[in-house]
Amino acid sequence: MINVEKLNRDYYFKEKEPGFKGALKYIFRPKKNVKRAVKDFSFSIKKGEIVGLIGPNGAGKTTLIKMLTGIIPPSSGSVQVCGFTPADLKDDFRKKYAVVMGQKSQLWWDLPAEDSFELNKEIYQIPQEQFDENVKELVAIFEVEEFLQKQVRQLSLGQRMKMEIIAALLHNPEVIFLDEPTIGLDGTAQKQIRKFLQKVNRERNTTIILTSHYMEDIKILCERIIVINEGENVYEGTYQDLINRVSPFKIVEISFERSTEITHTLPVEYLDRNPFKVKMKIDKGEVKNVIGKMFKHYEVEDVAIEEEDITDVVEKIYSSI
Amino acid sequence: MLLKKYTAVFNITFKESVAYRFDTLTSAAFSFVKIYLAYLLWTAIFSGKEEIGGYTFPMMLTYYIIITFITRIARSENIIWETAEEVRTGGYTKYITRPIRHFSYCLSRSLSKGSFSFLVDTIAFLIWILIFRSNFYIPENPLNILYFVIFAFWDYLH
Repeated sequence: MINVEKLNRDYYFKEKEPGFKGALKYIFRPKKNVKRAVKDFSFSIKKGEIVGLIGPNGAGKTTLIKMLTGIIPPSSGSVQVCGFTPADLKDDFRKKYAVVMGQKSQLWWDLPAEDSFELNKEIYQIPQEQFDENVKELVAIFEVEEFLQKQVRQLSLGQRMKMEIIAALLHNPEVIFLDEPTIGLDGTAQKQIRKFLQKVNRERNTTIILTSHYMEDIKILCERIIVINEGENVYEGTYQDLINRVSPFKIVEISFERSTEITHTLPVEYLDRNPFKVKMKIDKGEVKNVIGKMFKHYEVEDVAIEEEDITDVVEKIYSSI
Repeated sequence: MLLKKYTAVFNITFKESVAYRFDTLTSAAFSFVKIYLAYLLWTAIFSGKEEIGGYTFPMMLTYYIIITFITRIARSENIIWETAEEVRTGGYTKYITRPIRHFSYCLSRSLSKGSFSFLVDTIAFLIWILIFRSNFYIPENPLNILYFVIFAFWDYLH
């Protein structure tokens, strides 16, 4: 479905120094600079996969998506999407995918979303029957029927994002690129969008490429993730493998029925320790052993096992790989 | 089929213009103020005189009414600014990622925006003529009227 090989993208830009002198200098003798936003990037994605593209701000995620959709051509290397070279901008190719960027809108601000859907119907030459069916189905899943006739500018961010995704799916694209689809949304809306994407993927076998800063999105949706950092492909594999790799610990919280002094030496790091409760960071291989000992020697009231704090994990992913 | 794409763009743009109908209507109505001001000014200048430099009062007022109409329908440069803004902010990508030609898209949009204001302005134009009918100068050569209509329409297309 998607094949990317040794992809590079350079950005040329002129540096602008601050101040009046800098502005003058910029006019007459600008300092030219090159930045390689994507370096020797290779990967492939099969039909029907959901792949998460994660990385810190400025890592090159959006640049990569822009190359996959043909918005910008690569400096070198090859990209193939659905058998097309995106940068050729063939109409047949453009009917095969859709792109939703969280911060950009394809809906008409002053008109109801329905009008934008109608426009897409003509642009993509969608048969009336398919169009009606799709609108009905997608609107029902998102439960946004009552907002169809409301001006887009009067919709909330979550409602608008849902409309945005519906507009992108009307022509039954084979691939859909989502650049931070849940940015700024509340928990309920995020959940709905995730469920929706899962459903679309399952029922239509749509390939989904997703970028997000919310690890929940990635964890729940993506069978496979690709981590990009400073333009390089630094990790490719499942979410769980990545977590195991960067975070070999679990956080275990144990509370006791009465004031307890732990006398055994355990292979743990104490995060919090008081007579009624301990919070420990334990190597994943040792969890069973430690909890077993606890139950055996102390009067345990309750146990809670958690993954390491997700924010810390993300930080580790970006800095350690 | 291909034309249908661009009729759709025409239609949606027309709907967009109608969404701001109050804005369009009031701006058309307020252009009356300009004409009325010209009417007062030229009444004062012409007081006691039949003719100034070969022009009569109705000729002068007619000139004002026509020129107001022309300037109003000649404001089609919005599309150019819109495109510039889209390139700057990245909105332009919506033409790259969808099967649509930017040029034809803009042309349909421009035609659509133009026809809405052309409609409103023509109505306003006819109302002014009606109001100032006693002072409206109708050219003796009907061919001139025809030329005017042709060029006004050309102006709108532009």
